[in-house]
Amino acid sequence: MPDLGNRASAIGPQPIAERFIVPHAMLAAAGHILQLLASDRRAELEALVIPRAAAELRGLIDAIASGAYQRHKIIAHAKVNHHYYVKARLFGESAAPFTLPAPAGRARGALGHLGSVQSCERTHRLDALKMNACRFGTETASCKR
Amino acid sequence: MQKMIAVDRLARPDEIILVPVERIREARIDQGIPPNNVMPLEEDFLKGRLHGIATGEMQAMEAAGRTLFDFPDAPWEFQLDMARQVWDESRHAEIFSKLLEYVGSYLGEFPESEILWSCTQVDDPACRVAGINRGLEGLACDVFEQIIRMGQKMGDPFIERAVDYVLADEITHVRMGSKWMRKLTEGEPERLERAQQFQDNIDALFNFDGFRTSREDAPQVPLMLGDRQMDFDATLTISRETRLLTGFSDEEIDRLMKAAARSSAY
Repeated sequence: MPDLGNRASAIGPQPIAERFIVPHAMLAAAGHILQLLASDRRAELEALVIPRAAAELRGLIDAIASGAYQRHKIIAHAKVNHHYYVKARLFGESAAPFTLPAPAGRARGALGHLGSVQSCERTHRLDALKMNACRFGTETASCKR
Repeated sequence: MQKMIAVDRLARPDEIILVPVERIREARIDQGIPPNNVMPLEEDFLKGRLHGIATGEMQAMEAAGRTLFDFPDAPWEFQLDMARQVWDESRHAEIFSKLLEYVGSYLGEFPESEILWSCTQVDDPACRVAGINRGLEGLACDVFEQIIRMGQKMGDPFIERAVDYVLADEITHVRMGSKWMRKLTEGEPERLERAQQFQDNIDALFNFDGFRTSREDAPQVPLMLGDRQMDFDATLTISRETRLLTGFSDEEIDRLMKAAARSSAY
């Protein structure tokens, strides 16, 4: 029996698959959206959001203290086929870091949505925006459907 | 420490994105793919399926631990079984994390859904083990049997043996669930019925709208694995042989199969 911890000694079909590289355009689009959120540029954000997520976006904007954040960092991303979810953190000089998204989409176990913002925990989710990069003109795989 | 942790209260490290299952369904429908589960023909099938199991094992570990904590008055032997299950599931989570690396993925590549945790939302230990041990772990037995067959067909002993090793544990978990569902409800037929009803609801939740069939009825579709192509099941299969090992009766398996077939008609 080969060593199970050593991939090179595997006797199955190798490699089964390569690691997927997240498109740079998706990360750039996410970065742009985060910048807009941090700087409270509501009109520009509303122009980007898909219609069914408009209310969620408003909740998200309202949950972020206006002018409190200057920087952002993408801390995780995940995909469903060619759709992406991004978790990010906003930073400001005089405000506690704000993390989006986080498990705050539901209120106390009830089926909920982004309207149930738990700003006391400074958490929210960004997937409402669906990384709708097409509308940025930044082509990603998700735009090519 | 708080009892009965709500479905949105699972703690996760930064690199994991945890979302309600509706979000994932929405994204899948938007892309014109079956809403409920990653299926063959999708380029991420093997990675996605193993990722779903890895996060499922984590939630199973948390669920068994929570059952132990939420019901301190349950019999000592029940608590011992739950503690043993926590240990088993933690080993499984490690195994599937390794398998993810093996197929070129990693924990966090896909979002984690809260759906399995939502099956813990009940305040009776009999319902809890009916839903989790018999419902979810029973489903896991079907899923694992299918992956083992896939590993065999691929000629990949790592996937085949690793998953077979985990399946052996899962079979004991289902048996454990059957034992405790009956023992905890002795002399209380209504409570037993409630527990079985809870499990039925969970089974129905995972029927995947017709994407679940018997092994024999599963249509075969071409599946790409790296640069190799092979024919494999297009559906998630129910394995009678494995279910019998877990202590399900033929009648219970027939009921499960019928429910899956009914679901495809909607």
